[in-house]
Amino acid sequence: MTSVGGASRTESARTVEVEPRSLVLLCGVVVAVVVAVDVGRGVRGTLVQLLVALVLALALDRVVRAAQRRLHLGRGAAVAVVVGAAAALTLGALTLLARAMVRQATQGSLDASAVAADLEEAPVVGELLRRYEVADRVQAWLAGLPDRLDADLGAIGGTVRLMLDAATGATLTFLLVVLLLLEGPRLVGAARLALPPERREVAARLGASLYVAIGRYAVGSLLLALLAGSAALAIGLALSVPLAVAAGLWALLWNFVPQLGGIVGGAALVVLAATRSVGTALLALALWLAYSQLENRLVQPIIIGRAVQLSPMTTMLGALGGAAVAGLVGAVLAVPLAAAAKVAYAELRPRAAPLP
Amino acid sequence: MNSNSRIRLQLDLPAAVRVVAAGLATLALLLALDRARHVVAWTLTAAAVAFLLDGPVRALTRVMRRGVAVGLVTLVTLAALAGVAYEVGNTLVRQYQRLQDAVPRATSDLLTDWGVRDREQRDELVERVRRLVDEAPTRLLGAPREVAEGTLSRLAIFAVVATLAVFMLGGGARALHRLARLVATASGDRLSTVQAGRGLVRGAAAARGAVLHAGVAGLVVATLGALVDLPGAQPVGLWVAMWRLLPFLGLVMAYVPSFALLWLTVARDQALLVAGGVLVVEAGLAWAMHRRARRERPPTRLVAALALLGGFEMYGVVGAVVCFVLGHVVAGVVNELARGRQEGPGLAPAGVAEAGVGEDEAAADAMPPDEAERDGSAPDEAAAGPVRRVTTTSSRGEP
Repeated sequence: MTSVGGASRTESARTVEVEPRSLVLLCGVVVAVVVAVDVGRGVRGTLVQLLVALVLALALDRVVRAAQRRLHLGRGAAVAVVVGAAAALTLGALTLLARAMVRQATQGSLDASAVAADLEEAPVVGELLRRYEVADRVQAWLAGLPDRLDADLGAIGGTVRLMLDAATGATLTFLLVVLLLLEGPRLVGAARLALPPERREVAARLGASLYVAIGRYAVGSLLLALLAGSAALAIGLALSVPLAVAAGLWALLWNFVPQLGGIVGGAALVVLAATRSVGTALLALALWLAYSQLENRLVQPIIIGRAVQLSPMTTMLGALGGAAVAGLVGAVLAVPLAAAAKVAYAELRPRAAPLP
Repeated sequence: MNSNSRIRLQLDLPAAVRVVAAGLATLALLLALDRARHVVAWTLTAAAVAFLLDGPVRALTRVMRRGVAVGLVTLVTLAALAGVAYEVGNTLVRQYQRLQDAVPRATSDLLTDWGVRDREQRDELVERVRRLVDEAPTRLLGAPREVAEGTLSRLAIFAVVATLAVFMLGGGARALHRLARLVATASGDRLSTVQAGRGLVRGAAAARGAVLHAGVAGLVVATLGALVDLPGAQPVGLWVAMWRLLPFLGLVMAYVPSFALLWLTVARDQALLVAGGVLVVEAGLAWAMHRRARRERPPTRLVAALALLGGFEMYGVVGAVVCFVLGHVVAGVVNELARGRQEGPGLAPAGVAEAGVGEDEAAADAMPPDEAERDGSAPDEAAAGPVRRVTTTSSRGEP
């Protein structure tokens, strides 16, 4: 026995027998984990689609439940009504926006060479633009565009394939949302029953917290994105910005990305406004900043509330990490996943015993 | 005075050697799995095929020996596959030849319509289009030698997979039964093992039902399409059969293009007749499947969709079908285990705990009891180790 500073410590040595069965079990677990990771890497695209679908399904589940209550429908019928309405609204909005965008693009509202010539008169940058003959270069680039497009059919084919892939991915994600809404409750029930009875209460509590956190975040994010897109579109139309519809769509999509989304989303609007005049760009910037402040300080706390209690730095790091792992989708999913991890930690951490 | 005790754990030399050896064995196993990736894929494909063909084999086993049943089912399946491959391939070749014949005249007519008057320029454009069509197979599939090599290699893989599947059909049930006994002995939980066996059989049956549904739908489209001279009726049938495996979206992807082709290429009354016939068959199949699904309650549509998407992402169409079947099997096992847990040991099927066999053929499907007895591997209390004792009641809770 040793005694250090009034504390005595007893040390004893024990020899550990390693049971062969435990070793086999350990090796089996390692092999299973490695195989699972390998398969997961092989089906990365499907996993990302499943995650996106899961978040969307959590958002729509509230609407489905409300439809079940209000319209006295079964689960299947309520899912059909809600999903059908959501699909019709999305397709209608996309069709209208696409038509408006094509009209604006074909009417030649974006005269790039004239814009470059205008910008040469601007203070500070005008001198630089004149020195490097930017207006002439833009004119030459535009003049050579048809020939380049004709020669580079492969690039066009690649773009078409990219768009087809995106459309296929969106359609398959939509299918997964429907299936999750239809079979999710039964799967959750089955998973609960698969747990040992003593763990079911903790699992139910955890599930409820995750449902509230992620569901509320997803619904709130959708609403805020729609709001941001509408704001960008309204500013663009009010200032007669060319391709205002595209700017609105851009702002809508980027609004899902935390922290950076607002800046990048508004940048397109300001750049397009600069093609009118520097003053228009400054006005668009001021209006967008005003909207951002309104969204951050007033609308967001009301819609999302305190569902996702994460610090700005955590969301920023999460978004950057998510973007590094899975691109834009990863950046979008990072916040709800981080929130889910925090909720899980809060529910599962051991509670400290109250002081006497 | 604070006092605490510390225990130092130490490994003796044999234990340390065992730990290091286990680590090295794991590493070797992982490396072997990585190198033999394709063998694992072939084995899984053969397992999926065996699960699909096990139903007909079991049905025939009631009137003939299992070996003869396996041989018969194998022959019929190979003949069916050869027939489908011949019909689809032959149709594609014929359609391509028709396209080759029709393209120069169609191009020339089109250019005339567009007002291309210069004869030399028109001939040059026609020649370019003709060359494009002639080179299309090479551009799509590669050079003839590459195609021949690829085909030979695929045929060899097909032979390996088919042989493995026949072995699994012949002796797979026995192997699964032995595995189940091993697991039951190791875990001391025979009930779960029997439930897992039943789930495996039900999952395989669900997969068989879905594949049968898709196959019948494809066959109906191909047959009715051929009757009304739909161009490429057989490939269209194959298209329908493949897409019908995917829930909801598959229905749209299978029938919208097929009906559009039908509408554009066949007389309207015939097109309507064919579409009506297909829809009637689909409705009948859906009704039958829906009844079965309601009875068995397997939430497999999500699993099926995920398995198809993931399998396709990894190994294309074959991977999608294999993952579809194996996904159903895994879902069946998980579903049955969860149901067993929900019902509790008191509601276990009659005789399950004592004998290790279930109320229906599903429970004993890992191996039929009579076959197990012939093999000398019939369930044996002593060999099975500690068995959880449960009340013998029926699955519906009746005493």
